[in-house]
Amino acid sequence: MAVVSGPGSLERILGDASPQTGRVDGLIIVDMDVPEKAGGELARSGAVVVTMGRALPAFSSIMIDDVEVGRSAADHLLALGHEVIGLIYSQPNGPYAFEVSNRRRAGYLLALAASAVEHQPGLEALGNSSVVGGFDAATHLLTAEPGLTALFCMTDQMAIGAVRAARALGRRVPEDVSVVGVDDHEVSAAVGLTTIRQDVAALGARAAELLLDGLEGRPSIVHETIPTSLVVRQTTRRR
Amino acid sequence: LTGRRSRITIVDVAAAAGFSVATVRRALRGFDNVAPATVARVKDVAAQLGYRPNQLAAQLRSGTTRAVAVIVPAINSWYFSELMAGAEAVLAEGGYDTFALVAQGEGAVERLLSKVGPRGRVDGVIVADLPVEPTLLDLLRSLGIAVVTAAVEVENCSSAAIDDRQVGYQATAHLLQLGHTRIALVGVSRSTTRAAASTHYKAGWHDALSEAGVAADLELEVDVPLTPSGGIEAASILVSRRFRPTAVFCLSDLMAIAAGHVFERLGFLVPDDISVIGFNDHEMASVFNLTTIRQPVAGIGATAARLLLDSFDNPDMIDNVTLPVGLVVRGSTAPPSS
Repeated sequence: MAVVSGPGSLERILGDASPQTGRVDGLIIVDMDVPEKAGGELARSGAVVVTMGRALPAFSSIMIDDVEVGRSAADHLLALGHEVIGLIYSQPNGPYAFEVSNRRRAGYLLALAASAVEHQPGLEALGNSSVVGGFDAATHLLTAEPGLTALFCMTDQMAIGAVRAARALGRRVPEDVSVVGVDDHEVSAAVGLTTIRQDVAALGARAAELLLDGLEGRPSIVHETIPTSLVVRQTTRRR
Repeated sequence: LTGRRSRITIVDVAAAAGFSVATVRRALRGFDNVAPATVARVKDVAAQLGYRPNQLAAQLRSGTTRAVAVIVPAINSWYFSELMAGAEAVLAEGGYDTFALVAQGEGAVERLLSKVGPRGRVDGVIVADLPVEPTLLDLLRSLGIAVVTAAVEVENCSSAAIDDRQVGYQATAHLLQLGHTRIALVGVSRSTTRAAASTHYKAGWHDALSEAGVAADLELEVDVPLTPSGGIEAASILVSRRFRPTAVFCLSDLMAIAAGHVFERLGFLVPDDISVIGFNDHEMASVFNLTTIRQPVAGIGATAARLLLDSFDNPDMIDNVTLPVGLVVRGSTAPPSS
């Protein structure tokens, strides 16, 4: 596993990965934008590549449907009678996170529109994908918008922070405020968080299968989506 | 990537030989599921075209692969991803790419190190929380590959670690000072990679109790996985003990948070009825108002990386750095009720 952070390191690692250098047999690229030029070179070199979390035309990919994630979270809250639903989104941390954020937001907006609930831009706050960021964003939204009865947080970490923030403000969860997250983080079951579960291990396993298929000489390009599911626990309730 | 396109590639060899790229790759690597005739044909074509299967020789001549491997027992844990992030930041600044290798099972470290070694794929290795045999250390050094350990100390090797005994000692001393005597120790495991550290955590717990003249009740030592599920399991075990603990030390914050939730669901308020203290000072600890023993996980990785970069200039230097741990008092610990 290679960690890519600085500029140029992706190109260097992709250079190492091409079959010409013979250093790796295959490549799973996770949550990263691949510059067109580097991707093209890689494809022409005959390297076996699978991408996760982001689809590129030249390689097989495996991901979840993030529009559906946003839609099902919002649908769950709408079905419980909530109409003033806050959105805590992740930081645009690199091109990939930005895209996930946008897709989950699009799903949330689609669900609101389908229920004829008006979207209010003032109900959105940045949560930095972290527990503390979720805490701060929820504190801001719940203070600024007293009519808010539900929060959709794009990650469980932010949702866990949001639940703590609501309680710190004297609001009961789920009696006064409902909160739903995304992921099914390892601590979510223990703290009773309602969430949209994604099976990250299954995503990784499927990516590895696609890679092995490619290495064994079945190099067809496929783009697959793994389903997510709503897990209702103790942080959401009928309004 | 510039300049490589003019070279003969494996794609050219595959086209000329009439096989798929995958088959050519397997043939050139000497995999045994390729027919001998195919191997011979591929090698002929590769030789005719002047195809060189790798650039390692050139890299070895220049002596700079500019890469470091970090070997960890697992990557799906907060601890190792923090440690890796700390190391990666320092290595990137020093101009090195970071590769993570996961060592699972008996002999895995040796296997991985023997791969990075003789073929000169990396300049240095950070081994995190895994034992390293002295003979292996000598072998790597003879190949010019620097080694530093993180989170464990190995004789004759630079390291960045914490004093594991202090972790158990400080947590227990804090609870004793509040007046607790029935102090549970949760997550000391004989079955995980943390087995060695666990011995030291337990020694610290034991020492603090002895100093206070309190006998350690072995019923209060709970061996569960260091995960939130482990915390849930431990909490349900502890509330059913005949003599319940009044305080619980969990060897991870997430485990402590999970255990605290179970206690409250069963009607025991934290900290009124039961005190809970964690370990790490994970981001969630502050949000959950959890008292904890802080350890600088990213700092361990960063320090190990700095020691490795230093050793590139000064291969004979050995430095064992002990990073501090410290008690962070928040709202989950209080004097026992009644």
